[in-house]
Amino acid sequence: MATTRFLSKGLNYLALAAVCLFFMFPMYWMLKGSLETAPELLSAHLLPGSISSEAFRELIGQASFRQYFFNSATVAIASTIVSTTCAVLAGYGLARFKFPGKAAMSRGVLFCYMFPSLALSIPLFNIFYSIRLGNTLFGLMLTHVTLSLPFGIWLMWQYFQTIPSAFRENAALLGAGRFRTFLEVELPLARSGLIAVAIFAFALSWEEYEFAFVLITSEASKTLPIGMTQFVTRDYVVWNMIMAAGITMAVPAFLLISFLQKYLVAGFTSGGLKG
Amino acid sequence: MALHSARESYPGQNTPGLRDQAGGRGKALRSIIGTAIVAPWLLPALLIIGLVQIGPMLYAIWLSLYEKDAFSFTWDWVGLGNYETLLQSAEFWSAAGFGVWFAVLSVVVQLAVGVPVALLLHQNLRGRGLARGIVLLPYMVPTAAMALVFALMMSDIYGVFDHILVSLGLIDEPIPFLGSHAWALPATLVASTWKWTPFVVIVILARLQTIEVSLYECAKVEGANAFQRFRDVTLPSLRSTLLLIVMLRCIWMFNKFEVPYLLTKGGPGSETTNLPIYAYKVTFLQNQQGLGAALCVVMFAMLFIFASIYTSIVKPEKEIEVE
Repeated sequence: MATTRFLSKGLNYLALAAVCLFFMFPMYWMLKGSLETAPELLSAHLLPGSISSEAFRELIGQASFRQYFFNSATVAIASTIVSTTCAVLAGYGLARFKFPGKAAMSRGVLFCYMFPSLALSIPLFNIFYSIRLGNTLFGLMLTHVTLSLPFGIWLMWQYFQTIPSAFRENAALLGAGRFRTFLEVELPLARSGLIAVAIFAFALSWEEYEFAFVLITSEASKTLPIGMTQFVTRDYVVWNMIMAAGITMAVPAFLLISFLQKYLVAGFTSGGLKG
Repeated sequence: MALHSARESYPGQNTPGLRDQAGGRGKALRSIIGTAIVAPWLLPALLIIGLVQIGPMLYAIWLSLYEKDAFSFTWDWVGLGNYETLLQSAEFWSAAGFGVWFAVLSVVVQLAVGVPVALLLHQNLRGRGLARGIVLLPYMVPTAAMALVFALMMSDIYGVFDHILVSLGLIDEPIPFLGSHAWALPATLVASTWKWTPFVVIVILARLQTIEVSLYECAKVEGANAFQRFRDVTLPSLRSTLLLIVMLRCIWMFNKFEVPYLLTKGGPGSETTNLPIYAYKVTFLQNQQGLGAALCVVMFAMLFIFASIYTSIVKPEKEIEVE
């Protein structure tokens, strides 16, 4: 009995190690590749021969990389602001007002979200050109807003429902109007929900590939995920630079989402976060 | 929170008989007022969703009835001609078939890896917290970055997998994983398993943590062994969670563009081309915009049916009541 227990414990730890290895290895490979020189990387040894910052220095030296990075940051910050604002307003509207078609509407928002970005971006390409949003960061920003909006609305809706109506009634007694009550009493109480929505909005926009891939054709408006994949076709020898670009992309997203682990479950099960 | 009809919102109105006649008008008026008050709050969100999601869908339906290429401004009415062309094209059927096959297969693999990993991480093992963090890693890595590192690792010239296999003597020649008939699909599956299994693990782990410990204790007292406890306590509790995961994952995997595209470009030939990749090729590489739009409409229709089933099983507005 004791031996079987010991054995099964041992097997468990072995499995745990294998799982960690599987999920860590590609990350390790990216980091290792970014710290090597190009010829070293091509030899594919498991351990890095030497560590150098050559790839990062070369990457930052490229004007196109700085442009992609700037574009990505602009779009991500702008879509975070727009998405959070829209989500807060809509979530509040859903939590505080009763109106016909509410259930159908909340379901409709999720419904639209089921459609592939690529199939939306194909017709959107023509629409954006005809309303002069083609190749603009503003147009791309609007598409990125819809990535975080369903989950954002859902989460804010839930947050506003947890705020007791006594707060609102007191504010009304003191003479505050509906909007002032919302802004000065209820919104601060829902702050942690708002922060979660904002971080998700940023992370989802930061890594978005499909809309940017189809809608942006000019070099000046390309974002980092599109730009970095072009290093591959342009020049086959710069794998260390590509890995370095991967690291610069992964780090911000990584830091942000790791704060929000507990919201991931809610996002996944509500269907409001694509995975 | 129940469904909101105007009647439920104003309980005073619910007295039967007496106010039936006046009630009809009052109800309509109230619902108009209700809509007018709530409109400004919802409008910004609805406008953007309308522009980015509803607009393109309607536009695609319209465009799919015409023949149009990217360089001309002429629209030639062909009615349902584009759909006819699609249904008769072997390429369409192979893309649709591969799309469904890839979605089903990858979800099966994700479950086959994800469920045991979740059960393992639920055990009381040392280093469990760290391991949970590590399993979350792939979700946080941007997909484009992840696709590129897999492309590097699976390369036949400087890829680490071939390097290991050759130096162990298991294969004589490096295999071009992403470019070979036999390996393109398995290679894509490995990459997508890495990236999206965390979804399965996170959701199942969260559900496992809510199962009452007393249920297991009861089963133990009754003399159930470990396997019986798993079959009779764990599995039934996971059932609805698993259903949800299967549906969501099938939809998301069916929609994937960037991973198969960045890894294999839909090749070799068109073997790993799913519907999103095919639609992209038709519209932008073959310049048949009408046909591309028809493809989008077909995708919308397929997902609409699937999503209807999903939302009738999982009601988003009911979820809120639970919390």
